[in-house]
Amino acid sequence: MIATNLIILIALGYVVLLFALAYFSERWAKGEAGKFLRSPLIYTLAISVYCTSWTFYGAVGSAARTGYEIFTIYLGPTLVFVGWWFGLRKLVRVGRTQRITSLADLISSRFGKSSRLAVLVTLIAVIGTTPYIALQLKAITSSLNVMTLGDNVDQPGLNVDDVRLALGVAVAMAIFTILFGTRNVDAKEQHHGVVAAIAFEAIIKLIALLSIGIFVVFGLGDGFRDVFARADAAQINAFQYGGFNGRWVAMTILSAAAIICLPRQFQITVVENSNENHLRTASWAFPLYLFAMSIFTLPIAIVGTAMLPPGSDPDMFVLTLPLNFGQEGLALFAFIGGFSSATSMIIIASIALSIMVSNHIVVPIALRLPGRSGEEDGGGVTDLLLTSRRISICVILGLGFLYFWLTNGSGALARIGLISFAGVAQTLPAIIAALFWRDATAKGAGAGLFIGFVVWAYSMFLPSFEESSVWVAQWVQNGPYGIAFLKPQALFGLEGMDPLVHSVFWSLFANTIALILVSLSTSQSVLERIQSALFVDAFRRMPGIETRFMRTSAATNDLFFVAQRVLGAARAGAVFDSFAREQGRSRTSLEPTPEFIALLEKELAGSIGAASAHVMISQVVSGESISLQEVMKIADETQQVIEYSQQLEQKSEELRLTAEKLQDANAKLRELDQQKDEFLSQVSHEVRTPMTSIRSFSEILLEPEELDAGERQRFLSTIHTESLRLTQLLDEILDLSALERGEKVWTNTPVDVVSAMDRAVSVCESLARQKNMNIKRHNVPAEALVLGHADRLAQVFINLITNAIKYNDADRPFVEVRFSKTGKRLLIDFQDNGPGIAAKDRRRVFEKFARGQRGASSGQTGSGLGLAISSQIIARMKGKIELVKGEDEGACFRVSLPLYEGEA
Amino acid sequence: MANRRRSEGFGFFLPILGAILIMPPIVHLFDRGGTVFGLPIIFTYLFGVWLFLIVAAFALSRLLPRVDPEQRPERLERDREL
Repeated sequence: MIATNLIILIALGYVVLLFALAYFSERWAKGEAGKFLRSPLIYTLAISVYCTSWTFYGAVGSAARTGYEIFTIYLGPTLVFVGWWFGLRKLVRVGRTQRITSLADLISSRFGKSSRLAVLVTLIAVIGTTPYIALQLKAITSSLNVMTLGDNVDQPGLNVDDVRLALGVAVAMAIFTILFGTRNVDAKEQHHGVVAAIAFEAIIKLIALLSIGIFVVFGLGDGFRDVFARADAAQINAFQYGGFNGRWVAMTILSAAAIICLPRQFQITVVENSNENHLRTASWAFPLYLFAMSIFTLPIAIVGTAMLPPGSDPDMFVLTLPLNFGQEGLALFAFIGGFSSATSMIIIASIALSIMVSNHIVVPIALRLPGRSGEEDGGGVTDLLLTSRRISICVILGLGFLYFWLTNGSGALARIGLISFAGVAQTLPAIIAALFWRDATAKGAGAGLFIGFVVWAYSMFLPSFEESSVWVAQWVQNGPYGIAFLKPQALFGLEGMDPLVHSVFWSLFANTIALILVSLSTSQSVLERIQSALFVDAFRRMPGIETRFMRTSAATNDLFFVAQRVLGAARAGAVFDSFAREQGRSRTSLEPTPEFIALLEKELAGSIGAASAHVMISQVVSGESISLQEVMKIADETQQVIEYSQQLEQKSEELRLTAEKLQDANAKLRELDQQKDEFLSQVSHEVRTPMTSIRSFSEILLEPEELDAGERQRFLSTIHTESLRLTQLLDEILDLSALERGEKVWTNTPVDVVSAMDRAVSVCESLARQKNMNIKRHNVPAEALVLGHADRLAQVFINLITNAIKYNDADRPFVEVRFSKTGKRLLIDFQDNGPGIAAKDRRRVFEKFARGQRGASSGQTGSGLGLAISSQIIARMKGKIELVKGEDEGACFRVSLPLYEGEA
Repeated sequence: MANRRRSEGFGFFLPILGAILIMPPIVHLFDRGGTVFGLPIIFTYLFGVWLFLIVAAFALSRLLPRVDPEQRPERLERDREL
């Protein structure tokens, strides 16, 4: 028997200790010790806020009543943590990169920063958690009763002390949480002081439970073997449990879901995480903690049932065992352990809930209220946030207390643990879809959450009031209005199932089906797509993806104003300064780039949640959205696939081009082959004509018949002329082919075009005189240097002038050579007044063996290679020879050559 | 790379294996009464599996590749100091 006042004093002392611990941790967090406070060990210990007083006291009770069932509560989380690499790691990564502040924020942020979803999740969390807080208060008062009265019989009703204590605890926790949980609006909702206190409490409750366990097993009993030998006498199924059925599976799934979805777990595991690598340690250390917490559960239950008087409340064995055997100090320690579990749960749950309520319910409403937005003072939203959080904490704890006060005495509270688990588990499908399913839409998530929540409320939450309401009992018994089909615990006639399994099955089934069906039949908004890519591809680096969707026009001043309202002047200034430093400018000339706006939005989201931050930024930033197509390009899940297939397309385009080139080359080769054939036949033809005449004349000469000397002479001279022509032809062919193959050594030197022209004209002078025509030259410059070959140039000129003379059949024939310059090119026109060149011949005059028709008909001879050779030569000098429309009706050939301008 | 994939494979397999081991029907095999070392078989089995999972997770936590450094650690650090 211990005096009530003493226990209350001790509890008070313990709370003061927590205050001191939190206070100093908060101060140390900035210094060297901060490293320790942010260590994986502290993180792991804080996660064990999972073990509330429900598990501290209730686990033994549950083991005494049902044997092994309670272990599912620990095995589920063990599986989740052991598989951290695929689940929790992604959750934590997303939480850190997206500055997630709560469970509601996660779901809202992923589904297009939807405030409606945030409100829905917040409501589920509040409804699921408030009774749980009441449960903690009840555990504290019951344990106090046991301690002070030594009374291990469950006492119905409340005495004044109970209410006072529960109220006292609620108030103390509210003060603690307000002091350390709402000191400031952090960049990220991290509370080192609180976490340190929770970690300390984790150690206390572990040691307390282990001490009791060791006392029971090795003090009261004689080791594990001896304890288990009493199991049969205590009627506990330690040897053959027989309960590994649907309920076992359902509870494992529920507890696995709870370790992720419970607001307090999300707060500690994701939000308070300061380093992703801490999970690595927690992955085995947290299961080890759970293992240690539960290794003595069954033995305590066995010993308690066997050694304590019948009718003792098994939920309080942890206290009654040491009390009954005179170990008051140990009992006191156990009480503190239970007190620790209860307070740590209350603190973290109320922080987590207050963040949700203020970020997703109070702030959005406040932002929409007229008049609020015109606020001029710097800390407007900061103050609003802090105030709303403080009030939320009071309201949540008040609700918890109220729930405790109203329901105490009924058995409803005892079942709240699992009911609460099942309630928050409704967010699991949405979380999994958020992290792993790209096409999940906000409507799908909303539908799933809503339906799951309704089914849970109807089939599990409602029946929990069976004992306190006749009306509810009636419904459970016969169905609403006697419709058996809708009995809460046998929906659609699914009878004979454990109520828990029944409810978990129907609610999660309906939830998941609704999520999938609605997601598949609705489409995502632009923002949802972007968020979806950010969440699902959290491990793929997509730098700047969130920044690219904003084409912005925002004034830095406006942004600063918004930031100041939320973050306060000092922090906002620091954020702007740090970004300005990165840009290398001063704060005043800061460019509001898309990166900066995205960063700022994230900073704000760290304080007020993604949805509210988005609303605030959007008010300032105009022209935010860009074309859907562009967004698809950036964020669509097919981005990589598209890029890949684009690469493939490029490759195949390249292949196609190469194939085309090959085909072209092949065609060219064929053409060349044909040209060669034509050339050969033309050459043969050209060679054959003089050969034929030579042969026939030689045959005549060989005839024995007498020829007169004159005739013989004529024939011989014909043969001579023909062979000369033949030789010339062959020379030209050789020349051309050498030029075409580029075999001849060709060196371009500066030559004077004018002197080459002089030479050409003097060579052609005699031919011109024969025809009685003039070679006129106009605009002859003093000197015009080009890079080329003097003899070859003269050859081209001779060829052109000779052609002009030869084919000219005019009455007063003339050839004009006209020099001119355009830019850096020298132009030389050769104009005659001959018949000109027929339109159909114009194109092929430069081809081999091409002779103008009129030339041919006029009986003039020529190999037809002259122009081909000339054009080759001029090409070698980087010039061009072409047929242009001259002044007169005759032909006009133009040679253009680049002028030489000294050594470059 | 091969090691990374292998350890990731184990990381994926471990929770699934754990779930199968503690769920029916496997668990029924050990729920038949009798003792081992004086302890109930089913008790030893459940806590054995549990301990195995812890040890395996410990081993895996050393094998799995280190997580990439945060994308902008310097900025996060700076924020914390503000």
